[in-house]
Amino acid sequence: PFRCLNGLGRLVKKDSPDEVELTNPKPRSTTMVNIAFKDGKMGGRILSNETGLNAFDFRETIRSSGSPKEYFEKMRDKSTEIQFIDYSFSNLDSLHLPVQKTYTVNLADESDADAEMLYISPVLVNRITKNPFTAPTRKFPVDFGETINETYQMNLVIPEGYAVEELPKSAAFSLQDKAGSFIYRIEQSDNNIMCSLRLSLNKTIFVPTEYPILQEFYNMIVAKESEQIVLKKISQ
Amino acid sequence: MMSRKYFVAIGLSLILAGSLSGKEKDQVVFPVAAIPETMKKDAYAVCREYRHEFELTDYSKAVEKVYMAITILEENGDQFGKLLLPYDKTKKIKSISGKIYNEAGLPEEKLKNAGIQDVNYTSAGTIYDDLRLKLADFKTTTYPYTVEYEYEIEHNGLINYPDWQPIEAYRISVEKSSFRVSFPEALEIRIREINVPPSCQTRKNENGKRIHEWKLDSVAAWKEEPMSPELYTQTSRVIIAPTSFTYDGSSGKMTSWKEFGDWVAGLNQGRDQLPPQRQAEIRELTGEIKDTTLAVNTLYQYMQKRTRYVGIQLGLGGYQPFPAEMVDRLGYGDCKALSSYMKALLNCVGIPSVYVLAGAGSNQGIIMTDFPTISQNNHAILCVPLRNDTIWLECTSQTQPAGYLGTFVQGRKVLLITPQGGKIATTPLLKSDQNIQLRIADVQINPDGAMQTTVKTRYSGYQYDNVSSLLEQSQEDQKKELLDDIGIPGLVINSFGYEVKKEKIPEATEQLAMNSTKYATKTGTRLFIPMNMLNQRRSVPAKVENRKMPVVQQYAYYDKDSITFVLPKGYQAETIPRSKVISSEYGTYNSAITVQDGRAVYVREVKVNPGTWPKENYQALVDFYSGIVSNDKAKLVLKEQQP
Repeated sequence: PFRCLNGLGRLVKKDSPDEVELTNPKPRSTTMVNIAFKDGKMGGRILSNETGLNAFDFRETIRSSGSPKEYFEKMRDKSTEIQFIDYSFSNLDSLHLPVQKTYTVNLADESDADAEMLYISPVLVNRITKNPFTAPTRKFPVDFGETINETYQMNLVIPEGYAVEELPKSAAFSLQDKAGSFIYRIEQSDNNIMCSLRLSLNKTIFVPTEYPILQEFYNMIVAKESEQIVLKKISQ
Repeated sequence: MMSRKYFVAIGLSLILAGSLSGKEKDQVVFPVAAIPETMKKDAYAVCREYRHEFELTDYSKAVEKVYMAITILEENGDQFGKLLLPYDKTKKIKSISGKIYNEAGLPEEKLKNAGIQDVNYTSAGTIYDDLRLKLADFKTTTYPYTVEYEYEIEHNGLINYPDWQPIEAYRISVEKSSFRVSFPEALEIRIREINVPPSCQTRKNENGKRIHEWKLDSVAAWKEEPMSPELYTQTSRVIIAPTSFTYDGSSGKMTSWKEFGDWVAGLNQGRDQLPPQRQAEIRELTGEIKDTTLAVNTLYQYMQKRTRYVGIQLGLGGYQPFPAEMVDRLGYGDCKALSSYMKALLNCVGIPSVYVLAGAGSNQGIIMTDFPTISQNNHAILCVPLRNDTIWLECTSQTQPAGYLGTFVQGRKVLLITPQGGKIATTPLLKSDQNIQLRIADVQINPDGAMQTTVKTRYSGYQYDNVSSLLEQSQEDQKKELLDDIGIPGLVINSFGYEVKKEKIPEATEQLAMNSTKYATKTGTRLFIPMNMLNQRRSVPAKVENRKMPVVQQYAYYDKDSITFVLPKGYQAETIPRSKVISSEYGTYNSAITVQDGRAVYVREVKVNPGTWPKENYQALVDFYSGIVSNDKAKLVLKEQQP
């Protein structure tokens, strides 16, 4: 568990006590989203895989919610950005396998079915909307506890009668010495828009002097993830 | 190979079962399989049987016996498997016993003395009292399991009698519950039944005693629902209370609130004396002041500076305040002592005031105006009746303005302890046109999405409490909290300040100057500017299927945000979010955006109405908030003009 990631532990064994590094295998999280216009609404599916502490936390939350159904209902009722319709979870009890989640969703934004302009956010899940680092200065080191390795991919089928007016630009920024990186790619191919992003943090501890760079890194992620795809209705 | 291990395992468990249960080997008690599905729905635990007997022998003596058997279905239900028995010097716990059974209903372990803790039950903020608690617990990690407890209490001095509430908490269902009350024919007690079908009660006379018994079977568990009243208002309850009582050497009557007030007045008698030097000091402090309200405010602030709240309740001390001279000397006291002390201060200058018993926080105060019980109050305040007004004083706060009670005690029935006995009054409740948050902001948007802004916000009434605790912190801490709360990415606060009007309806005005490098989102040639900069509602009450409880909205308020955005040159509005008006009995909402001469003006108003509605209205309430959340996301889209 997160609270045990304390550096070095002591192996208490009769003849051969030893030092043990308290770390977990690196966690990974992969999400794939497919959205298209169907039955008068923009909707589709979200598939995600998680390992490590992310999976552990998810399994724990399911257990304390009572059942997968209760967990889904709580999440569905709290969600305002996306309308969750249905779910399916796999490998909840197979602890050595990644936990898999599948959701059927609708985009909740109250836009007219016939709007002149459609503005869609490509990052629909786990969007970082708030920079965790708000203070102007930092006295203590930043300790994330674990590395971050998140991949997100979205495929959007452009609704009939609309064309791309503007797309966010692909971008990449990184922290020095391969400490972390954020790679954002977006492109259009015929009537599909594909957006992929990858957030990795390879270092877990940052000294206070690195704080401004870390803060700016997150500021850029928040800004990039809030950019919208702009679609315009094709005039007949 | 597998089948061989299987047989060995069975064999072993048979032998173990035999040795554990001994002569009770064949007695299966409360097997989990016998619980019907209806009892398991939404339940973390099931009460299999509950028997409560209360025998009053005279107005100061009684014997109480309780038996309960509870099956814990899963880890979330563990709290129901613990026995918590508070007691004080008037209660003697004669015996406690317990047993734990496994899923099949076979006994596994008896409660040992070592399994019963006896601890001090002092609540937070209280330094010392004689409240103690017996705590019994079977620590187990195998679910489901059944626990059984039985205990007997001897009462010596009673100011309240036990009540019966088969469903006392969410997530526990009840298969069988009963309550038996007996007392000599010569005595009289009061009984109040709430939500109890008439068929539940049986009455009989036996051997010179009157016996009342209530039974209730098969009550399904309740599940928590957002925006609901307290659970006890919806479930069956039988409350019994004294007519005459004797407690810790003091006797009184409780057949009416007037009588109960008489007893409290008796306890307070003679405890309002202050040393002569203090009296002289007070008279000098207020000597020049002609206006009574100003005198009251001055003395209230004097009391706030000199004293602080510390809870100390000992026996009768749970009802009787410390003498005023003691508070004066020590500089602290609990709500009763501080209110009583304030009264003594006002006495010095001839301003009459009334000591008041109130319900605070989740205690709603007097809800039965014709049925006094001590549970209908848990706090004391002071009331100063003036010719055209009343000043209510919360004496435990060192920072509140005089006359302002906050949401802690407002809007409920309280008991005034007057020389003519107890009288019921109602504390004021601020309305939506008094609980206001008014904001005006000027924002400059740069072509790169950065913004600079100055904001002025006025908080009044209950909304004063949005910032009241912030006001007591250091500048540095205030800034940290503002940065955290505001949630605009890349925010830098350049300056801020507060101006406070500490009046009966308090007001605080906040000035902010801040900027952010990333307020509007830039995508190629477009700028997306969020309109609701500082008051975006993001949460909607959760959906509930088959709602059981009425819908409650407790407090009224009104918010208005007027923001003027100065737009960057070279841009044109492409999409202006439409105006929206939502009107409902739960409240109203309207937002409008106008763009003219390079400026966008955003005005948003929300008014929330208090009230109680039938459960069928819940979806409409959810829709109201859903509409607000959806609309609050509005963004003005600007497009770079072609040169």
